[in-house]
Amino acid sequence: MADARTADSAQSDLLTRVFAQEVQETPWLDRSSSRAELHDAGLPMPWKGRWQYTDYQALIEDALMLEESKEALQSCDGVEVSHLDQPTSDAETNALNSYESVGEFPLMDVNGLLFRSGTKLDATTQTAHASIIDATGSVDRHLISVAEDAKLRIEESFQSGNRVALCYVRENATLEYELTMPQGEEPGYHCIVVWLEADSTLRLHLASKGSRVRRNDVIVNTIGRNASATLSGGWLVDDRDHLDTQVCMNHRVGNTHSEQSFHGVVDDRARSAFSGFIRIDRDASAAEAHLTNRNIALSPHARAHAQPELEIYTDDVICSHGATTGHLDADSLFMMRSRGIDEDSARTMLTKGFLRQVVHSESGSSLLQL
Amino acid sequence: MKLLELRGLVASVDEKQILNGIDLTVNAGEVHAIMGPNGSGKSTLSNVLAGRDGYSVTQGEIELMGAPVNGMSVEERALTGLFLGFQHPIEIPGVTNMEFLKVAIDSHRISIGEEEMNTRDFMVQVRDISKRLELSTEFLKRFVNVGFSGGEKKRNEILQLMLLRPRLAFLDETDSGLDVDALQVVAKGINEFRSDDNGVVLVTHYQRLLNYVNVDFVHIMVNGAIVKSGDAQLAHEVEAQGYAGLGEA
Repeated sequence: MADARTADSAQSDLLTRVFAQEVQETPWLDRSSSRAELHDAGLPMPWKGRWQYTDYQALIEDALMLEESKEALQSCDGVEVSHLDQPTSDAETNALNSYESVGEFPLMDVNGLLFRSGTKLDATTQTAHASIIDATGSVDRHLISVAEDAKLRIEESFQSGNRVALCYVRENATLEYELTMPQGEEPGYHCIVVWLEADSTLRLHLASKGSRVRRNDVIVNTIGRNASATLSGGWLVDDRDHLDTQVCMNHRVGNTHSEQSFHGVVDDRARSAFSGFIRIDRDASAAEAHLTNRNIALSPHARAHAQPELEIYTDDVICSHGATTGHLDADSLFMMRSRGIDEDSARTMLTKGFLRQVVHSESGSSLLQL
Repeated sequence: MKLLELRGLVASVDEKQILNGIDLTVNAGEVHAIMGPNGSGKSTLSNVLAGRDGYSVTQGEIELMGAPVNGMSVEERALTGLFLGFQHPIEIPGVTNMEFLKVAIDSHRISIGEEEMNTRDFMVQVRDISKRLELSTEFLKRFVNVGFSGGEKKRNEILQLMLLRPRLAFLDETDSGLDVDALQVVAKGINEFRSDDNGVVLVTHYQRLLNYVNVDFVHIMVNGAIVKSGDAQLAHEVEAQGYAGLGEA
């Protein structure tokens, strides 16, 4: 009991400090939904549930120290840009920022109170493109809107700090999102939330290394019929690094489709965690969702945790999910060695091959040295 | 020259004795066939020769190219000149056939002090062999054996054989699962490979591969031992009488 009280008191203290540091310099931005969510839900129990493997308190402490305001948008084309640290009368900005709660993601709301910089991107053409770079040392937020029938490709690099991207993909629009996360020293929290309207498409691809503490949340909501999401990628975590990737795929309406495929490699004394949660709502009949996550531990001291979860509230669905954690295939290793390839080279080739099955993009391949 | 010599070879898999004393000598220029029913230890023999983990020699000796294999790793045996053809070729997702073949040939070249093969020469050579084996060059870009038909997988084994040019090819049921057309292509590859400088051991259930490849010696293996040896005529006897009649020989 004493421990629980201590934990409660520590969380309450942390929350008080977050509220006290709410950024006041941008009165044109409505932060009420983040404030209300944190106020009502509080902080979750540490080392439980979605925070079983990652110290969220360390990530919040880090966010509280990040006070810089940095430009993260490197380039864009076919996109209308507004900067959130500049006064805006755009009502849509606040509408986009006032997302409904997705639960158990307090870091997203901490970001909502503390972000000082960021952009609102409106893509209206078929060939829109934006490049977002790392803004180490800052808490930033990006509001992304892809207009009806438009197509936006985002290439983003993130290393440390605290960043949330809220993406609204309108009817019949397409968002291609490529996220690479080079190895970092400092803690990093990254979160992408996507809402998919009818007939829209999301293709999200991630390639990540680890850092001292790194948490990557991806939350996708299909809110229109025939919306489809393809999520794929891989990670290679080594040294003593940590990477926790959580994907929540929420099928909120029927006739929607999602496909997830992630491969992870852990080496040395590193630790990776993956949780793939698929929820099919009661009104989401004829939804189809598939998830695979395969992990390979190269060292006996490395740890890979994998947790696929399904919550289905209707009968008429097609779902599959599976996660495995193991070592390099002994038969493949033997076969390669029987052709004269030394064991170290064979291991490297097999590891790259394992990641190459899911990491197709150029930037991801170079990040993971494929 | 003796490429392979087995003297009283006794070997176990997971502490279960499978090979019960095998004597066999393969000289350069010779083609041998080892025939036997299921469970006679043929595949175990292949794996023991290759040095696979879990397969241990408990008595007797193996010499490759005149030197004992004691303590040699799988890759060292391969670089010494042993090639193991797989009964069930392994699929390697994510590794292209091209990349795999290039690293394999370069490993061999580096082991004898040569430089890596330049890519142009490599491509010319691989394309030429592929053509002879009636394999589309498209399959070089695909992942090793992934999505290949049974026949393509076995032809891919022969391609590796022809590219790496080992001293001794030990082909474990390379003929299994092949239709007549594929069998002829595989046999053609083996015939092109064989020369006075190298040796071939065909491990097989059936006589049919021997219709296309002339063998010098046939050995019948039953219960982990060679129970009878002879010339090509012995294979016809097996076909006529089955292994049961020869097992007691």
